Amino acid sequence: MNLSVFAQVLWSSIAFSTFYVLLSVAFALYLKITKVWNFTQAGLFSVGYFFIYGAHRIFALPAWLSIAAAILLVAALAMAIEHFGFRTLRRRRSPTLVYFILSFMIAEFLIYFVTLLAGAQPQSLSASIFVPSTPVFGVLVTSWDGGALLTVAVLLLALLALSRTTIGRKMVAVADNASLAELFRIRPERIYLATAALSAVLIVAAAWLFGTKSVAVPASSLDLIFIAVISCILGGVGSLAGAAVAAVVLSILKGFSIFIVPSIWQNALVYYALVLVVVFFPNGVRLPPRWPSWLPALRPAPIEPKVAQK
Amino acid sequence: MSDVLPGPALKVERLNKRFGGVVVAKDLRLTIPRGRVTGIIGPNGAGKSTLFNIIAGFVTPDAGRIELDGRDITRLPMYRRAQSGVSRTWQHVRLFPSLSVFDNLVLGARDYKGASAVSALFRPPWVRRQMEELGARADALLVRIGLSEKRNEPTTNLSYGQQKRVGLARALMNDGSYLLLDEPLSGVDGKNYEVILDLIRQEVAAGRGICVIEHNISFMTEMANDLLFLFNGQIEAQGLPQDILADARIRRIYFGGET
Amino acid sequence: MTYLAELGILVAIWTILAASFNIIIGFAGLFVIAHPLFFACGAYGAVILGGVFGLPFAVSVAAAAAIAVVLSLAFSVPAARVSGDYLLIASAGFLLGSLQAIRNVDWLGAASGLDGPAIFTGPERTLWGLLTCWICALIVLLLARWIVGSHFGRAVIAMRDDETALASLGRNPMTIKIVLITVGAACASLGGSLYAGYFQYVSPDQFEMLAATTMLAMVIVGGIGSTYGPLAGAIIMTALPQLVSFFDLPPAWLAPVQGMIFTGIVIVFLFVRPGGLLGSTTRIGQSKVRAQ
Repeated sequence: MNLSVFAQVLWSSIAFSTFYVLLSVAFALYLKITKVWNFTQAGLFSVGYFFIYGAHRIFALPAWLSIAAAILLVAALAMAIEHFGFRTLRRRRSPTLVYFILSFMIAEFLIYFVTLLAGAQPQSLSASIFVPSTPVFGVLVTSWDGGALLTVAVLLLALLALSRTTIGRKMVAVADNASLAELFRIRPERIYLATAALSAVLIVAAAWLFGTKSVAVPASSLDLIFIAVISCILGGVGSLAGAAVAAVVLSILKGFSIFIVPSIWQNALVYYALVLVVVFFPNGVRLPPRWPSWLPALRPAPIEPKVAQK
Repeated sequence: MSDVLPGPALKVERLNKRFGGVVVAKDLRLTIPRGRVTGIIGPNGAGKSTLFNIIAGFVTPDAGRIELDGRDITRLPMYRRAQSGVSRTWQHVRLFPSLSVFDNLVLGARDYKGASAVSALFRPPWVRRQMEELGARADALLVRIGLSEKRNEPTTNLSYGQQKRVGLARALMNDGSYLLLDEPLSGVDGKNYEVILDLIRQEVAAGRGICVIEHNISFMTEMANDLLFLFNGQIEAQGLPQDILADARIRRIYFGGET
Repeated sequence: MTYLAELGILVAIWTILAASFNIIIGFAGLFVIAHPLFFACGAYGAVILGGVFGLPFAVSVAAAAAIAVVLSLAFSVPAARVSGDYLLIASAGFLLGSLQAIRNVDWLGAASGLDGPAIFTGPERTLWGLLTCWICALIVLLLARWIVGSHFGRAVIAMRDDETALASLGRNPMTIKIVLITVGAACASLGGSLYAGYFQYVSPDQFEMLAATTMLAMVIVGGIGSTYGPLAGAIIMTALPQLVSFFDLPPAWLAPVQGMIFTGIVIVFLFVRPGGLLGSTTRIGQSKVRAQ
């Protein structure tokens, strides 16, 4: 393997990682704030994906409209699931197993529903996958790559900005300690609904990016959600940045693994990787570099209590 | 000082444990000799229950050594310590709600052969015999705690005080040398109080080493041979109950303000 | 007539699978969702050992069960250091990874599967199959009942109530879990061997997540941790999709509609009757109190 091939694979993997990053952050966000492993996001992904497919490819609505409508639909669905589903389980103090069963069943239900409506044929979200590319320092960069990276950057920065706002701080508070937050007149349930809506945006964005690069069947989301799960665990449960970084790393590993592992074994490898990660790195991988101080802090600074003057 | 007494004891040495920013044990030293009652008092959150959790094996200390009759049990998991004869009660009782009182007691026996794989599939005569003996012991204990008529009731039907009696009896089924009782009298009054008190007296007389965490001062004055005051992970004072309780500094920490 | 009888065979086999799954997630409380792998072990074992090596059926059943038991240890041993949530995720990954692996291995039949030898032969084969499968199903159910009702069962129920308290009494919860997982895996393997023995064909598609979902659905509907619940669950969840086939749906719709019915029923049960048909009405996993 020479340098130009290496650079090309590296670039493509990073570009590919964009939808993994968005899905991982969506999953991590929900997990961090509500402490729920929300597998329904696989179902939501399929709903969003094939809604866009129907609106954009079949009814020829403009892309932006299809995406916006999909976001509304998926957000409404996500909030309904949170409100009628997880909230009921919370009230009953159900054991974790029940959360798992419910979220998994809802995901599968949605996927079956989408299969019923859209069929099991692989579909893409754009008319043609072929995009013009330009060589940059010997690496072929496509306009899709640029658009995808820009989308992820914008969305992640928006999340960062959100964490500074009032509602963002409330979300962080609820993530830390929901019962304590209640004492400060923060309503966890409202925050959970906001989280559901927020993750819906990320999920639909991920669906759009995936569909404009590749093809999917309704059941594809299950594989994708597993990668999101691995990223969350590797990056450390509770860390959005960790999940994002882990998603990129996984994408790169996946990209290069094609040189070592035949493509038919790729899927099996991903699943077994999940098993190894869970058994050996349940607390994530601790990386030495600390967040550079000259970059904006990931977490809002805690409010220092003013010491009363005697 | 009780650690000068010769003879077998449950010893804790150089115990250190912190949870995040809270130090619950700092170079803690403690001896629970047989045939005596060692009492532990201290403000809430001082780490008393955690100390029991560490001795029983539920929590791993950061450093330290636990010795049972001269044998190092620091590395043993919880169930092995119970099998070695260290049994405990829980502050919140923790009976098994799906089982009857009798079943709860029977499970307390150290050598409950019924839990082995062999007994799971076959029922050899020696298992059957042992289960009968255990049943007889459980029934005898039920008589001692005065709850024979509740034998087959689910534990959820019992009052709190009755549950505490059952919890104590379950720990006694272990028939081990050492008993760790975590607030056996909290929330208990009247007949339940008397029954539990009697039980503790009988067990001390039988030669068991009993360590009791309690807030009940009259109990400590009456029953404890040695009283320890636990505060901020350290034993601030140790000695006879009347001396400790008369100490002004201790009273200030424990009861707060001027007394 | 054969149709109904074969349906009966399927119900019997699903009962075995659901009951063995119940032993693992209901009794032991271990979220090992890789149960279809034990099923596959028995099925592939019967086909390969019987078809390729020509071993008599009883021997291949026993050998396959032994392999399943060893496989189950791969879950029960790390279960001590891995919390419930993670165990579920890890076992899901293991199931899906292994199915992909089977698809890539030729001597396991890859994606197209393997044909197996006929175990039940002759004009009365359906009847023999029906009889054998139901006898086995009854054995597994009685085994579950025996486990729960025995002295061992007392410890199992206690472990489900409060594992820490049980450990503080001197019982090692790990031993109990290992026994339960082993028994569950062996029974599932038996179900797989019977399945392959009658239907004479195995392929990875039969052991996919849908199989795990089906078993889970049967256990939930019947009542997690209840002894006869799996039987009720198996009957309902096998009968209902069959009703769907009477509606003359286009074939492409059959699978998704069945899937929606399964998952929909579980979702409804989780909200309306979490204890299942035969379990408690309020809590998952709480069994009725045993009195001696």
